[in-house]
Amino acid sequence: MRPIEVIKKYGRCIELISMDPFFNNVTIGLFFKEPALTVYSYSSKPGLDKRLKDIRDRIVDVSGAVSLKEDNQATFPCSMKDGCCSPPLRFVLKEAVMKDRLNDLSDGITCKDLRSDMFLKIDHSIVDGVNKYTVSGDGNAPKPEIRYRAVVNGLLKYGGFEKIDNFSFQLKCNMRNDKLINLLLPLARNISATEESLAADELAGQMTTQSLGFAAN
Amino acid sequence: MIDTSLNMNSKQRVLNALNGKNVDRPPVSNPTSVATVELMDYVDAPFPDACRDANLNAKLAITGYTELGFDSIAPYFSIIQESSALGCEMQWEQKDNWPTVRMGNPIWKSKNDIKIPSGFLEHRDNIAITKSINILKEEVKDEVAIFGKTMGPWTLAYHVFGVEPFLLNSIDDPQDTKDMLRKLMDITILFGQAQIDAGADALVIPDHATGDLVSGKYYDDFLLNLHQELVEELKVPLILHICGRTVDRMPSIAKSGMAAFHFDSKNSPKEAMEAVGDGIRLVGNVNNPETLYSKTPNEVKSEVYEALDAGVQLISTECAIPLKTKIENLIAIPESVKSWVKENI
Repeated sequence: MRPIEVIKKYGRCIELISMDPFFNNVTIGLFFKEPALTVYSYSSKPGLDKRLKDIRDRIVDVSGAVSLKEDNQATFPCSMKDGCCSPPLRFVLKEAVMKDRLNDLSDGITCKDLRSDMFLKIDHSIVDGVNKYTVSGDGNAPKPEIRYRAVVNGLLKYGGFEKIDNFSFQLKCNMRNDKLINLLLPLARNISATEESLAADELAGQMTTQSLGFAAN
Repeated sequence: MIDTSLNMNSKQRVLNALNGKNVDRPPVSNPTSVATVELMDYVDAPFPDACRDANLNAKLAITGYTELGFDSIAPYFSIIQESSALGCEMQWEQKDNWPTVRMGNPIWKSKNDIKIPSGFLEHRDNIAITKSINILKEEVKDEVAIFGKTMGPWTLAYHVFGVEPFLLNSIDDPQDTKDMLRKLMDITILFGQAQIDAGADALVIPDHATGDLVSGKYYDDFLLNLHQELVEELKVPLILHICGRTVDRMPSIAKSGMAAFHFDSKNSPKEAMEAVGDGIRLVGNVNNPETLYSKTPNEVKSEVYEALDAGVQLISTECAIPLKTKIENLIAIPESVKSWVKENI
């Protein structure tokens, strides 16, 4: 399909991975036309359809999305009305394409804090019909509340979630999606590193006076 | 002036605009590059191979016209081809990044070192461009304008001497620097003429006397007369490209005799038009790192309209676009020009 036909059929390209390390370095795009997310590549390399399906399946596994009928399509349980659940997709696509690991929830939503000996964890509960997620921790930390608050802020920033209080939040669609939270927790615990990584991603492939070396640093 | 009753093809539109003649609508051109990683996949011509192989180069370059709807085709995507042919140390990178010259290891130290190697025009990285222009010319005939590109002496000096040594020399010994630039200009002319001979309809001259590094006075002192000489030597419309904030030197650039100046979004279209007056046409200046890279067609449209409202004669991106630019934002540029004409003319 020509690019203009792809855009017409699948909608806006909302995320792009320049080189798929597991399939001929092809570029993978994630297109969105409500309610469908479509994994697509303009490449015509043999075996591409299977790879697109694999990526779609990975998106489902790592983010709690659900498959649609087409092998390269998925959506979230809220049907992504008005772009709901789209803010974390840059991380979802990167994880689905660039990594080859399962989103393991066998120990719950948890990861090691980078600023203390504590293990951060996030618990789900239903309070007055709200699917509420609460950040807490196990182990030693000098001022754990500060860390919980920072993690919540990171999750609001990268997930586009809604704050309930300093230590808890919910998805905008009020769905439960433990996989998505588990994917974002390691990113949310260290905002400065995540921001640096995002900035590096954005700089790649830019031609500027800085990148050419034609500017004072 | 815009006369919608005229019936023009892309090449006529571009050349008329560059020559200050009437057009049916402002052309959408790409003095630098509109190659993206998606388009590389579409035609199976990834970087860096597409920079070094004429057939791949032509396949990728033509998508600017066939898929994006631009009025020109620019096969020289980067700024390093002739520097590679001169022997500079290269970093070719992969599909997702621009090839660069390792300027930390310059090949020359003084003007006496400047020598054009034998077989310069036959070097694979120069042939990639001239042969690609041949292929493109054969394919599009006189339908679309083909832009060649040859680095100006200032940019070449950065590559062969290194940025810091060259700039320090310009302070320590201005006459020596002028001598260097004059000798380097032979390379600009040689490669530029080769592209004209291959079929280029216009030439882009990137010469990075950028506002980030040198003052506007530098342009007057070191480059203006050389650029005027280039106009005499290279008998096609020339488009000067300098990145960054350049409004302080635009009045001088307007005296260069070049057909157009390709300007950066760090200068507003209105102030740029005021700075150049009737001296030179402007090409520009949709922002790359924010608008094209991360915003939507609506924001692209708004910037295109701002440029057209100010009177910018040729619409384009401000510089070589980020390789991850989404195609819909690029298609939005010609669509916005057409809708502006419909609403305003």
